[in-house]
Amino acid sequence: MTPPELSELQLDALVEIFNIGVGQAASSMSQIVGEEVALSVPVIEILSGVNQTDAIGSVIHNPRICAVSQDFTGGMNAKAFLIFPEGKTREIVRRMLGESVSADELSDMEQEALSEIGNIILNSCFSSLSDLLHTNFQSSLPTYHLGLIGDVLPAQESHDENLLLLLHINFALPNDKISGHLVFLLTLPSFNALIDQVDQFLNSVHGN
Amino acid sequence: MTTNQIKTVLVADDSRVARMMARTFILDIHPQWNIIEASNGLEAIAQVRIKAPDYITMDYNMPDMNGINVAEQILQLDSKIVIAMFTANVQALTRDQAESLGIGFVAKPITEASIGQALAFFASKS
Repeated sequence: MTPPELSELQLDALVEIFNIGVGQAASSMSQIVGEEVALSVPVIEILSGVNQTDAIGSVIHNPRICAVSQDFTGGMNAKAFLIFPEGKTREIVRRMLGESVSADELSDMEQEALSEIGNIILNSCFSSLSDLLHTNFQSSLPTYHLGLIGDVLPAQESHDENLLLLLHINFALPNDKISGHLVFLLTLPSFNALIDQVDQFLNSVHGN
Repeated sequence: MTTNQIKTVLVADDSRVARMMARTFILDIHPQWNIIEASNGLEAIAQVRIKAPDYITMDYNMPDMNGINVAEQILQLDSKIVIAMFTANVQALTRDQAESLGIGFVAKPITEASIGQALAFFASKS
C-alpha cells in the first residue's frame, strides 16, 4: 500500500489543527510546572512498513526514555505518547507537587505523578483536536514506561496496513533545560478518517 | 453565607497524586473541612452511602467507570450532592454531558486556581 498523498492545503490544515491541540497541551503543562513552555513547529510524517518503536526511535534520539502512553478511540484511533529523556522527570514532578514534599515522597510518587501529567497533557491535546474536527473520543488509562525505547514500548508487526502518521513536536521548559516530545501515531484507516475530517474542516473554513 | 459551616468533600480520582493535591488546595482555603477520598467509581459510590459528603470533586478517567457515569449513579442516591467534574478531557461532548447533569466542569490540572473554581461552584449551589 502506498502512502496517501496529501495536498499542500491538507498538510497545512493538519499542522494548524495539531498546533492548536499542542498549544492546549502546552498551556496545561505550563499550569503544572508554573513556567512558560516553548514549543517547536510540529513535524508530520507518513511512514510505511515501520513499527511504532522504529517510528518513535526516528524522532527521539535519546534511547532511554520515560514515557506515558494512552490509546484514543472514536472518530480517529491513535496512540499518543508523552516522552522525556530518562532522568529528567524528577524536576517536573517536584514542580507539580511543590516544595513541601520530601525527596522520599517525591521518588515514591514520581511514576503516579507522571502518569497524571501524561493523562492531562495527552487528553487536553486530543480534546481540542476532536472539537476542531467535530469528532468524539474515549481514552484508555495512562501507561507508564521507563527504559530503552525498544524494551518499554510494545513491539508491533510491521504490515502494509501499519502505515503510520507520525505527528511530533518538541517542547521545552527553558528555565530547567528540560525538553520533551509529544508523538501521535495513527494507523492508515484512522489516517484516512482524519483526512476526511480535515477536508470537512477546510470546507467549513472556506464556507462552501 | 455558609462559608463557616464545616463541609465534607469527597475527592474521587484514581491518581493518588491528584487526590493529594486536591486535598492540599481545599484545606488551604477551608482548614476545617473534612476530606475523604475514593480511588475509583465504586469506591466513590460506597463513600457517598457511608459518609454522605456535601461536595464531590470527580475525576473523569477512572479504571472502572467514567466520572459521568459515577456522577449519574450518585445523583440518583442523593440529588442534593454538588459535584464538580475535574478532567483534562475537555472535548465538547464531555462538557455537554456534565452540563446536562447539572454538575460543574473544571479543566485539569489540579491547581490552586482550578480548585478555586470548584469551590466557587460548590458555594453557588449551596
